[in-house]
Amino acid sequence: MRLSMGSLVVGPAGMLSLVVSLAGCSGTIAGDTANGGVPEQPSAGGANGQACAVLPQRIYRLTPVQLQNTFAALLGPAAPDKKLIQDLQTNLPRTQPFSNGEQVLSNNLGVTESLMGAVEAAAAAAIANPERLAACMSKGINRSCVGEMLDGFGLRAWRRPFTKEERDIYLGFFDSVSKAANPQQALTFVVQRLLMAPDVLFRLEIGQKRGATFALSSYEIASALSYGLTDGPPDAELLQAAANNKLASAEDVRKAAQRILKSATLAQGVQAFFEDFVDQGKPAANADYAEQARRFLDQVLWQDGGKLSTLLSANYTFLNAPLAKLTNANVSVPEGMWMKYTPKADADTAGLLSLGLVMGRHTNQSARGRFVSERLLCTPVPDPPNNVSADLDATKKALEAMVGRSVTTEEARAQHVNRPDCAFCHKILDPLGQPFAAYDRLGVWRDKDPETSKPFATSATVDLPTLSGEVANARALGLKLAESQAVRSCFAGQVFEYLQGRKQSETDECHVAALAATRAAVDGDVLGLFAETVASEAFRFRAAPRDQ
Amino acid sequence: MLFKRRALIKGLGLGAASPLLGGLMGRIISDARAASGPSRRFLFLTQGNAWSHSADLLGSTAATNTGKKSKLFSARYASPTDFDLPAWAQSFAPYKNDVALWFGLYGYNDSLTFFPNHGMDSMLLTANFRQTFDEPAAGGISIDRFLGKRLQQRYGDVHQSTNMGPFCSTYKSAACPSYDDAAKLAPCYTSPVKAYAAYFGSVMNVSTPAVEKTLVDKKSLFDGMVDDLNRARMKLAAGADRAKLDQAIESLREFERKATGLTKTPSRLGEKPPAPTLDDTTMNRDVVRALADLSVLVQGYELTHVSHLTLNGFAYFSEDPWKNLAGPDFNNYGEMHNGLFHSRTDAAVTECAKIHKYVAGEIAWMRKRMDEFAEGSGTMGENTVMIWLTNSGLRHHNGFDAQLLFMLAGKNTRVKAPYWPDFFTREVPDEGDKDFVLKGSQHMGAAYATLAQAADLTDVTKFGKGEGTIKDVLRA
Repeated sequence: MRLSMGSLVVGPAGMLSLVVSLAGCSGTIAGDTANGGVPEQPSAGGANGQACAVLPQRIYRLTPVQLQNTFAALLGPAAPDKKLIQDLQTNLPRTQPFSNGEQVLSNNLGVTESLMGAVEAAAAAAIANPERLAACMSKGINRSCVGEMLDGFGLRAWRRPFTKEERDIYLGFFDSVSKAANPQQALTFVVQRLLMAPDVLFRLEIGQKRGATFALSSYEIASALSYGLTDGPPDAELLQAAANNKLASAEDVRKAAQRILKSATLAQGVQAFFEDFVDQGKPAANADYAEQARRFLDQVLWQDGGKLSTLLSANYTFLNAPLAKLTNANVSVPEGMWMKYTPKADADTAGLLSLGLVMGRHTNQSARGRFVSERLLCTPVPDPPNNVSADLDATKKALEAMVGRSVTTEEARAQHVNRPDCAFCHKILDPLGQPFAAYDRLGVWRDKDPETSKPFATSATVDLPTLSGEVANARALGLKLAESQAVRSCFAGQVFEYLQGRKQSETDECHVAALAATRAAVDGDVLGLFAETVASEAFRFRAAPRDQ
Repeated sequence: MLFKRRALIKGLGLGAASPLLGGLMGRIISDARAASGPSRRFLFLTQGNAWSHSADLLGSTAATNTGKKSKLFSARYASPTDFDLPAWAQSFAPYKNDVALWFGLYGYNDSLTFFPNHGMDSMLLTANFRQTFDEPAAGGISIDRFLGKRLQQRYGDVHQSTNMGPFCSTYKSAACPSYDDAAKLAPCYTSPVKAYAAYFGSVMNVSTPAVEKTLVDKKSLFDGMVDDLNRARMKLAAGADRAKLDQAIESLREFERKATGLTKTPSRLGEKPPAPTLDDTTMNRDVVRALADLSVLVQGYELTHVSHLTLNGFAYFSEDPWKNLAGPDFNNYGEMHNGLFHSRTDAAVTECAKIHKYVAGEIAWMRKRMDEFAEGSGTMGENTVMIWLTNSGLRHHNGFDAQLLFMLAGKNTRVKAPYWPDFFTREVPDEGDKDFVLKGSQHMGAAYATLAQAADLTDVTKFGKGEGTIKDVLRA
């Protein structure tokens, strides 16, 4: 179990205990103070003033989507071979949310074949339109023009200028191939090599020595920031800022991030984060749910203030004609259009949590409770033991045989709480899922329980170390979650994981605690938290390698 | 008795081609050889959506060669064990080069844990469609990708893919050292090229002076790419991240070696076949049939005495006739533990019957394809006993004595079948697990014992807890 502020630990006796140093929440609010200076070394960045350990140097493999966006930015939207990108996604499985799967960065043959195929396709697209590489190509392919290409196209591809040594190597390579092939073939090979280079396929976070640590260069920060927030390469403005060394301080980075985050169009990385947040990789109960969620997020984050509380409790959703029909909404939506809609089920509407994407993916109260527990409270819940049937029908039948009458599904479900082997987890899960009882397994709200013809019971008593109290309905639960320090810490940790592209380690806890204490996190400012995260020292500094 | 080692026979008269492999089969026709005698072939298709192959056939997923009993057959692995064969087929060990055992699994994850680690040196491939389409990230493979990539490499076709899943060709290989590894996946072959070449021979005969020149040029490109990786590598301290770049360098070199080596391998299949038309997002019966075609093809090539191919017969991947089932209800057809298969309700029976009829239709189609291969004095179909067992329905989890059985035996076999089941029928309402009966059901062990008898293994009269051979299905 991950430890962070407000996290839970399951002790040997199965008791939940809170392992929190709330004192850790009272540290400096890092986002408050403008600091335009360039820190020579990391400050005492922990939430309670202690210095966090500087994270190690690393390489970060671009995700298949990021690679696709990179090729599209360089060579136009038609350049990436989508089939090959799909292959890459298959060959580079993401084993968990908020991670690009770099732990399985096995460059096995399958990966290399897909990469080579993608690079060859992109190079072919480039050669078909060589002016994209350099304007001088229209007059002929020669050494001088290839040099021009390296300075322009090459810089954009590698997200940094070529060094003189690298430039000479590439020009020498062009010369060498030109001796045995025509200039176009030689250029093709140069472009293939350039696109297959680690500077394209990876982000290197090495930095430049600053005292005892290494500060990432402006170009490295530009890439980290851009791929994190836009899911794509740095745009011209960001590269220019890097060239002018305007990404050296936290404030510089924060400002650059805020520029991107202002635009829903640019900030595709934020949408990608939420795709992980709602387990986008799993099948959706309805093909329109993903678009519904995307529109909802767009509204909350870029139209309605972007607060976590709105995210978890907004009383509206978005519908197109099929969803309006599916959900029996009393509204007419023209075919092909979407509209903002406030359902009748006001109290049962809890923003993101009650969207069809979530409800239809987590199809019963226990599963929904598990989603809330794991995603909002960062409290993992184990799978049922192998010897326990998850078959509710069987449970129902057994219960009916026992009591000698027909029982409802809810009664059968309640058995979980009473069975010793189930009770421990279900006492945690079920209250968190009960407020969503009115949603069926397709994520459609119902006004009455078809088995009892009565309204669904949606109230619950939550009694967890991190969250407690009565909640009357889904909205109340959403609001309670949004107010919870544990949820804010958990959310900050997930934003950190997403932007780092990996799961948290123990070393990260200090950094996450610091982020959870920022004004943005405390205020539930979702986009602000993204900006604070990329501006944090965890993103701007790296430790000296151990063997240096 | 011993059968003669079956001959490689390529038939004439192949009918309509499937979208994927029809062309390849066409090549087989042109590559046909004279028959030297009929084969004996037994094809099992089991639908393992509840009981665990590894646990029930091997004893447990971590079974070792220690004589542990299998739950299902009480079969015992004892020295000398033939690791090419599963527990139930150990009695066939002396005859394995003379009898074709063709074992298929229907769409169940467990095939991935059982077979790859079981070390069948003759296993063709494990193509699990659930993983392929439902969980590609879990490492599934698809045959259209497998062949598509192959064709792309050979012919510059647009069908490009490299995703290969677990292959294991040799017991005690590095990837499959022992039964103790039974729970692990064993990606012995990481590329379709290797796997395809191992079984079919390469079709990469594109070695011409122009190609050779390109290869020389390419060599400098690969060298350049490796140099770039090395420069990045030098910036990193020793550790996991540098190891990643080491991996990248090695795989790039491997790619280079492969590209170079394969172009020099002689062609076996000849001219360009038609391009596959499958889209890997199209989950229709053509995909299932393509797998069936490949399985038939393997037999035709005599590439294996035991081949294993996972065919997914669930409605999950079919366009019809369940189009009207929406959302999770539809998707759940592919789940391992599906309430429908308990068949406790009329609705479940109805849906299960649909699935079974669909699968039966696909098997009949496969048999038709086998009949398109001339073999000896008849056809491959006529020399093959096909058995399909599904445990959907009554006692889903432990109903080894109530397997719905379907047999399509050829006239040159010792089995009298066709032996068709009825689908579920209601017998007595509301008696729990006895709600429904399965007409035509048999114990799995009885099916295997019948198979043994059909192979003239007269000393094998019983398998596991089965009652012996199925009555009245064997010819004298």
